[in-house]
Amino acid sequence: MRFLPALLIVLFLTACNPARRIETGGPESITTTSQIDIQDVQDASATMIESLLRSGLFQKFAQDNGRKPILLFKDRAIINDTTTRLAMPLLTGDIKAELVNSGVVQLATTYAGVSGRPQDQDAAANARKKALRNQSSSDDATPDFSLTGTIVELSSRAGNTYQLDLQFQMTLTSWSNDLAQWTDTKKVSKQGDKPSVGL
Amino acid sequence: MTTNRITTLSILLLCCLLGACGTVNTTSTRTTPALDEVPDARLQVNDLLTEIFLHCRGVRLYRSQPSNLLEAQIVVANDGFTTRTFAWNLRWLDQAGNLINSKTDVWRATSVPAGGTVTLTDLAPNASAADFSFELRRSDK
Repeated sequence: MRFLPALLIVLFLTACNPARRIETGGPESITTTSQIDIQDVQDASATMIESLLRSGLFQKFAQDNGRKPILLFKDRAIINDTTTRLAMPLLTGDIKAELVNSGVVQLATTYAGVSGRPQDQDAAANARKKALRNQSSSDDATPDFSLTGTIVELSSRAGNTYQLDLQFQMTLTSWSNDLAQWTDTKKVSKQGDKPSVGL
Repeated sequence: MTTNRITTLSILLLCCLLGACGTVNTTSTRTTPALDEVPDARLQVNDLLTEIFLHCRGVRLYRSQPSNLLEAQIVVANDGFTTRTFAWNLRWLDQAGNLINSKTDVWRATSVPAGGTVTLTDLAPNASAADFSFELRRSDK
């Protein structure tokens, strides 16, 4: 009987789940049926990267033109039509990093476009200055392609079971003929009655 | 026949009926292995899958066209009576056996229905890829 308080304390301490670091998007991440989670985003970005590389469009452009294509991919080019407030760089960041670092494209960071706001405003100002100094400059950072996309969701419920269906869609448009050269979708479906930990 | 036996038989029949629900029946016109089959890798992947009551029907490694990048396909079959969910991750290695860092190196959850098959596909991030390592994890989520 005298060990009961100590036993209770031990049980209480072992029941706690203190904050700790986990692998991003790994098997210990939280899975929810109410919103987009990090695993959905990672899965979608990986699928899109693979699909884009598999298409061979960038490689073909480089062969035909003797230089890597310039890609315009703004975070705002992805329209989030879901109830989840998603910070878009979570999705676009990995796609940009993989495409640029693998050496298949160059990213246009000084092109302002309709928004009038280039990604890198200092570099854009420098580019404008160079163009003013040298009118015959051949430095042209006009994109060859642009990437756009949408994220949509469909929620459904049967009794206590909730289901969330997501669709990530992306389209690559060529600026030479203003036509879509590649498009793909990634669907993710999740079902359950409460959030859980794990893939 | 006693009441207990009838009850047991009824439960057994019900289980069989429920187990058969949603089962996929599969057939194919292909009767020979794929041309890009890697038999040694299939055996190794099959050892992993057996631990979660699945098995490997084939592992293929080929140059995806028109990108000319290496691509792997792993065909996973479920001979059980329930849908199984698992998480997998395929990592690419270069000629020297070193890991190629890539943003596509992520855990992905996949379900395979009873009696059905699913083909896991993964594209190498660049032309230096020569081999891959395959990781598997049981997942009920």
